[in-house]
Amino acid sequence: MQTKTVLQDILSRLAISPSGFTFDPQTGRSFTLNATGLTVMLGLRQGRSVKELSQELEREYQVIPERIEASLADFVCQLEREFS
Amino acid sequence: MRPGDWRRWTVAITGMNATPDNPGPGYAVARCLRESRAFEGRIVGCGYDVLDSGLYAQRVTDTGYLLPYPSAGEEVLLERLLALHAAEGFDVIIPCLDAELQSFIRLEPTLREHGIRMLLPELAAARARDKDRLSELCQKLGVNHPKTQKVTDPGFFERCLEQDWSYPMMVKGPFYDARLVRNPVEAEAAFRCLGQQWGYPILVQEFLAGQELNLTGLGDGTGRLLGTVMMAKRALTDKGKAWAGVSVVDQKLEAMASRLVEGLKWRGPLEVEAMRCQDGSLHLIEINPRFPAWIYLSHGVQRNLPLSLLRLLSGEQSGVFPAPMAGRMFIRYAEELVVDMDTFESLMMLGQRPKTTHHVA
Repeated sequence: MQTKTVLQDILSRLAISPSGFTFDPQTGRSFTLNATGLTVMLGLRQGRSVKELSQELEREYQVIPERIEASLADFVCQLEREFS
Repeated sequence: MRPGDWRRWTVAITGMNATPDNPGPGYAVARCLRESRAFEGRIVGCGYDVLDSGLYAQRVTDTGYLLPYPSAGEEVLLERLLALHAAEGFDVIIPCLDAELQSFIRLEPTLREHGIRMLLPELAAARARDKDRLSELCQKLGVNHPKTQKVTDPGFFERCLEQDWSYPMMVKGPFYDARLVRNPVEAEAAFRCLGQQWGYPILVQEFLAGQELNLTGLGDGTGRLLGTVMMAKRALTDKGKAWAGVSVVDQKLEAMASRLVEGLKWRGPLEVEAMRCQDGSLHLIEINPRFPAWIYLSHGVQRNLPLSLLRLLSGEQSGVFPAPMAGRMFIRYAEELVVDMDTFESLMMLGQRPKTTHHVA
């Protein structure tokens, strides 16, 4: 539950451009997202779960679910590590 | 005190040194005023060295003068300032260098009698933020601050491991400059170098890994902090100064700065340098009693603080500023000013830029 709060705090403050350019107004850091990352980031910000996003990516990219879920978990960990 | 409209004041600004790797704030302060649509007054650049490049910048300063080094003493400084005042009619002086601040504070009553305004802290407040007293202040105000100690004997750097210190650590001069050192050899070299350059005491400070965040603003003397502008460094010079940065909005940093300004009843510009560690905690590194060299960013985020300083001195500043703006970047660059020999000669021999200069196109 605490992890979700941290992640939501981070996501709510980020400025995410449709190009994938993302800026954190609190730390001044910026980074770029590829198309998949952008989909995930916007989905998480809308409150969708990692499981829901995994299923969507699985349908779109035809990758095995375990691999997608592991990649998404890594992505979320990286976000929390870099921006918390 | 001459009454009048602050928009037409004559403003003297010190710290016109503008070396690319470590510029003084004066030139940036002057640019804030010059590029403001509201200000129509005169800007007089004051420097300490004939190669202080802001003295020659005709687009920004109307004229330039040399001042005696602070080591010459306050009487000599006062004499020079009053001579320049007689020639230029200063309404305001904005001191921009740490080393001169205490002299200007002590001279403030005399200068005020001559009609010159300054927005400066009380001497006790200025001293309380000295690097060698900052730990005491932070303890009093409940602000995190890395462990810091005065060092007068370079033997400390061998013994320190037995005294709960570890490498890397920061070695800092009393006014400026800090070096990251990784072992006793590097530490002793930094100790001697900083001591020769800036004098003693040298300070050692626990090294904190994290992100450096800086804040600038104006204290109104009653405890209020006005017009904060915050910046995260994006690229550094070899001296650790910002080569590029971006405006940010960090409520924890603002709260820390507000606590310091309230505790000190700070009057005037200041810069708060802080470090945010991996665990999210914020630690005060130092307080600089002046505008920072990156003050031009305040113009970029529509909170032109040098202009606000003039308004505060005139009694016009209401304390209302546009909303903070994150995501405005600055990137420094270096360019050459071409100066004819007559201008250089005038500054070298008379300590002043000629009224009309002949720059090579």
